Amino acid sequence: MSAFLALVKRDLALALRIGGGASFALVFFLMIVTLTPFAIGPDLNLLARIAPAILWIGAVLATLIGLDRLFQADAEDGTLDLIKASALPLEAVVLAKCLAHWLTTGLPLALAAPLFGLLLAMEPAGMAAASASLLVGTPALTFIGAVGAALTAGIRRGGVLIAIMALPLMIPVLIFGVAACNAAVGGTIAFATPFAILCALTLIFAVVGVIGAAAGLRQSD
Amino acid sequence: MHADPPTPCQLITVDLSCRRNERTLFAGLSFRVGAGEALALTGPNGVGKTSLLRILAGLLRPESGTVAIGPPDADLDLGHRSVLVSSRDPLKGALSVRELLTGWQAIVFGGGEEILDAALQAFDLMPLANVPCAYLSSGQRRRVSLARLLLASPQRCPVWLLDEPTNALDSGARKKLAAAVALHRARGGLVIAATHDPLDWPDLATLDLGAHNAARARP
Repeated sequence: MSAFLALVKRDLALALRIGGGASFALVFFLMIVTLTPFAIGPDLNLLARIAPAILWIGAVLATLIGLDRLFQADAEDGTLDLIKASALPLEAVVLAKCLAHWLTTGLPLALAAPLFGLLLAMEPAGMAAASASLLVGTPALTFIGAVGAALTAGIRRGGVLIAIMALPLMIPVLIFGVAACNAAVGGTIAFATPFAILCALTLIFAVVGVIGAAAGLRQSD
Repeated sequence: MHADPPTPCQLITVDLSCRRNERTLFAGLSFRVGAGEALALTGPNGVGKTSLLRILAGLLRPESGTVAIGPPDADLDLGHRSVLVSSRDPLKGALSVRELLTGWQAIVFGGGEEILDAALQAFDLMPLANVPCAYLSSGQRRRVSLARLLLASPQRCPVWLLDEPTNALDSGARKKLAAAVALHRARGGLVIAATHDPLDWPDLATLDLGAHNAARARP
């Protein structure tokens, strides 16, 4: 357990230092959210209606930032060989790295969502729902991306490949994330229904993603 | 430094062969390295020295044959009985030398601060302890990689696997490496080093993979 926490701590330290890229995802998210009103024009009703979709697409794309380096950085300099020699099972290593990635990517996005919702003329209930759905949904995005990151750990310029592999798998998360936001501001279904499915998706991908990424890393030699 | 009782330990390979990218690097390789012994792997570039070290470290599966490190704790797998210092230095530019080594201790090796300080001192890294790894020269980076050897306990990880350990090292650092290797051997550890440089370590056996392949090729 202490080795697990040490790995999380190390990855957080690396992400938060200069050049670590912890703030990139948040800034990229902000860019997408601010670009959209410029593209659509000053129609506040339209903007408010598509705001959940914009926030979620922004979150999906922002999650991809940093994923390409999730294992590649450690594979390149030989750190991965060293980590493999630890008593931690590879699944725990993957979980630790996903946790660190989510804490520096998904969590800031979820926390910033209400603020960015203001830019998109969202109602308060919609902002709360966006924040809650991103909070439970973004871990699934990280776990899905981790599989792609593990498979491309040995490949230079693997980032695009990760996007191509991971984005289709992220569609269900996107659908139910946006559905939960829409349900909170009206509509025929209760907020709890898509939200519960979103939670279930995160739990499923937590298992599948961790096992899949660990298997990918084992094959990388 | 406290004196540890010698650990009876040996590394035995039987009929080891390695294929990489549809090419057989070596085959039928059997050798034994006992407690306190050191073996230099030599041979021309691309003969499979690094691959052999990675097989011994449990990172690469051999095409055939077996590797055993034992006893005691023969049930532990290879990666947990050896420390591999590969030709790449697993350093993170943003972390200081001390942070990096502390992280390795916490993640891989365990052990307290006195072990860390001893490892830093052994490779003359104390003055660099708080310097970010990004600012180190290649020789200094190599010394940080080698200091990792001293973080592992000789009981748990009796096998040192070194890939070109003297690369970029100055003569002072080479002496420090030789001293660390001698101490490890005196404690019953064993050392296998792939190298092109002549190593002035005492009682150093040599395994020439090029000559091994040539001998097998002869009818």
